[in-house]
Amino acid sequence: MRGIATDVATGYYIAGSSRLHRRNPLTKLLGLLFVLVAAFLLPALSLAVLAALLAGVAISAGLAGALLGSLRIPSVLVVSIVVVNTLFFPGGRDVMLEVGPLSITQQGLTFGLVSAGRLLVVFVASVLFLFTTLADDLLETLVARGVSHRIAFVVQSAVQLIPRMRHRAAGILAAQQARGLSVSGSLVRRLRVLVPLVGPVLLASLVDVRERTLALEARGFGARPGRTAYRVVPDSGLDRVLRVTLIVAILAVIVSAVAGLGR
Amino acid sequence: MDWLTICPEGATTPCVQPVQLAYLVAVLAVVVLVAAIGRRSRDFTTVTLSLIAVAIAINITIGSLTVVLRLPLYLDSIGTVLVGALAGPWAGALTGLLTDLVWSLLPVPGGAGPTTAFFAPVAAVIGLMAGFWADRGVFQLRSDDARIGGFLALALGIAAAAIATLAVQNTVGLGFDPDDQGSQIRFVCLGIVIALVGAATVAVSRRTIFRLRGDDPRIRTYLIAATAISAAALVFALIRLLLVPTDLGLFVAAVGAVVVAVLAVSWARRSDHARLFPVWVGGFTTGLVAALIAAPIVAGVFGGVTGGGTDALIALFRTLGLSVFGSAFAQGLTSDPLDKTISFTIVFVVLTAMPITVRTMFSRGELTVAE
Repeated sequence: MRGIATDVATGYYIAGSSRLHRRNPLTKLLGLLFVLVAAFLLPALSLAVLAALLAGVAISAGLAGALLGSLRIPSVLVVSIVVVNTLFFPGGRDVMLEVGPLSITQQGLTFGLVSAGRLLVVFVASVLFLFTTLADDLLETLVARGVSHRIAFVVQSAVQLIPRMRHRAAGILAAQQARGLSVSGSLVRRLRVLVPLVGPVLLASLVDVRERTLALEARGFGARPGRTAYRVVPDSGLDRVLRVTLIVAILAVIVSAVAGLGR
Repeated sequence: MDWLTICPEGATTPCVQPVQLAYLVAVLAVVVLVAAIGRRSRDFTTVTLSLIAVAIAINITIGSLTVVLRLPLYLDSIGTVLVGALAGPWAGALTGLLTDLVWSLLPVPGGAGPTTAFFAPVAAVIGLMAGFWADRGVFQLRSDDARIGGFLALALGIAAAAIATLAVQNTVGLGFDPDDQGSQIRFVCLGIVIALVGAATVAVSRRTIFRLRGDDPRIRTYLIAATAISAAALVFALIRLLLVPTDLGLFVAAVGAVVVAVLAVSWARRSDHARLFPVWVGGFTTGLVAALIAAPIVAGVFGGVTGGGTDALIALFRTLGLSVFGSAFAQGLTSDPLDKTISFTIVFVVLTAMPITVRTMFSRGELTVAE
């Protein structure tokens, strides 16, 4: 089944056997959570430490090139955060440079750089996680840890449905264009294109729900007893040690942030 | 708990800024919301679960289609609204939550890439709201139903609150300085007053002019009038916002509004078109709530910017004197209500076109959708 839609269904995953690839998905998820909490709760200077740490991890996993390539995804957002805040910051008082009617303020530049840095660090951490983790492995681990297999089914089948539905939408778009539908032109024109596109996609997929439900029920999806796993995700002693360390680190970050709230 | 003292004016001892406290409350609210969704999800039937999976795929497919068509809308909650209508608010909330988490996992254009997950709470609340409105019958009411009165009163309340906001903005101003204690308190008080004006209008009009009985011929007239007035107000506001505020701009906006009002009346008089008004009230209010929840996320996580063409709007609002949070909220107010109104309308059309054999499979398909 997985052969049908491997291009998107495997997501950002890049096959490999580095140390990072071999870690348990739950360990990597906790690592991501740590970076998230630390980036937003610790003082801005810690961003440099986090960035260096992430760069080291990426190089050791041989993913530095892929990581640099992926940075174009948030590039517009990051540039926008810096530019809009530098030029239009509500609390900006200390003007550094005047360019025509606009003025660059120190507060705005600081706020923009810190916000962009936080977002970039979190983005790099999530991309490293996605590069080295298959969604299947992640879900299998979470189900083994007590997450309902029903939720895991919903996520997994959505992940597999998306490429097929995008394929279907592209097919419908091509078919409508062959009948003379124009997808360029004014805004109103492009809005009208939605009707002959969205209608068929929605109705066809709703009819599918019926078939999928019957197939699931016939295979005992709602049956009570527990299940055994077909995929077994490896979990080493090193993973267990790392997880405990990460949990302690996350709690330490939260405690230090709460203790320093007033200052 | 010594650290938990709200800053008094000119404080020197360590204390907590109200903004920080608000973020703390928000994080707790998200945790409670996720826990509630997780609890409710145990009761979902197999049909509901496979509908949710398909709806997530619908959200992401159509949400990325807007990138191809270069539309300034999100349209990433059509599936969420559909599930809210067919399987109830909690199923809708789960759909929204999982949509943004799955979007983070996949290299599909649109959304905010791997950081889309930050918007999961917004999507979850959209699902809750859709289920709530479906329970109130937005996808079911005909244009001669007495329950329409409630929707008309609500629309009037929103209009009253909007007028009150404009009045405050033009007299004492709605400025908000994150460093100044007094201005924060004033801002909150003004917000409460505006909300009270809206609520009072709803309560009074519900008991007086909109106290309707079934088969009342006035219902249809009211609906047509409400459609025309809201369409005209929307066009007027849009033109005013996009054109520079000059006398010519005012004139163009007024002419545009009158033309749209006339067109809306002739459209709403035909067959049963006027019954779409409750759908729009549902979509519009959902959009308001979505904007309110998205604004702190945009301000706190994304530096007050979204990375799309709408960032020009954020820059515009900031030059008008709004804060980081205020400009993000104002930007949300200009795109979210419109986006959710369109999504609700699309779902309404799909629900009425749905084969009865498919509709009756879902737990609320019979209750929330009319022939």
